[in-house]
Amino acid sequence: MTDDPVDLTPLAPDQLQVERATRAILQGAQQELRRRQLAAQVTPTPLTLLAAWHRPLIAASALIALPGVIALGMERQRDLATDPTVELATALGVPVDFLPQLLEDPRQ
Amino acid sequence: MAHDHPDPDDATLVARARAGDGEAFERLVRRHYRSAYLVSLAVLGNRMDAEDSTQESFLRALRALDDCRDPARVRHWLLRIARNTARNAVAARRVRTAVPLDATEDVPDGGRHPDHAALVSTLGDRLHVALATLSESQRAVVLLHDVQGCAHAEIAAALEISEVSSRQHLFVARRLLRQTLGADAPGAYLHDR
Repeated sequence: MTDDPVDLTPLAPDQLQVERATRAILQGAQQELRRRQLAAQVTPTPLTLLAAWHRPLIAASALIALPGVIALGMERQRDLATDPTVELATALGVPVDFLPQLLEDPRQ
Repeated sequence: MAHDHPDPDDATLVARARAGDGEAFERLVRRHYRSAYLVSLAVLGNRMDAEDSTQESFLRALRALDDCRDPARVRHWLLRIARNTARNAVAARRVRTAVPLDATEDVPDGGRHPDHAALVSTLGDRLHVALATLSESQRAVVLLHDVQGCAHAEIAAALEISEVSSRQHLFVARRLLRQTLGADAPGAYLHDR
């Protein structure tokens, strides 16, 4: 069985079609091209240049730091959830029930 | 200066188009329109839809030009956008209505002899029918290779397949086209093109 090519050139776009399509595409692209021209005219500050240059580094750092930030947040939540009375009693080494009396008369 | 260069490379044109240079974008469109159109045609199967989809894909590409990581290989990137845009169009078309893959339409003659235009149109219709017997990948490979003259390495990169697959698709596609078209397989008709 031969694998000689079949002439498929009738399916290729001719020059007229390319011209028509190019005009249509350029017409549709005008707004985006203008937006890009305006963006290119804005003089970047040293800070924005630095940020743009280091954008991948900043993104990577944020990703690396994210688990740590989440862990810190969870720790903080746990601290807030802890009963301060229990913590104080534990720190003083007295039973929790005895704490109100101790607070009324610290000499005990 | 890049603007004075008669035929700037793709990377230069992408850099200029990113800055809103319409002339650079136009050059990119003219340089890659045919390949993008053939990829769209491979997916959609008819000329009108392929034209619309190709135009849409270039507009998408312009909007996403900053995402092109390798401007020197913008051709591959554009062809992938063309294929994805065409596939989206197929999905949308499935929702709307069922249109046969081998839908036929006229082919402009580009100012050639009227008989030639009629002949090309007839051939085009037969080729559309024959192409409809192939898979999307086979169509894309055979069109890019045999019409646009792309190398297998380039086709493989654009279609995200291996070079071996590209060669296999081409072999099978040619064989199926020959089987479908039989003795009418075009060749001698178009020597004046």
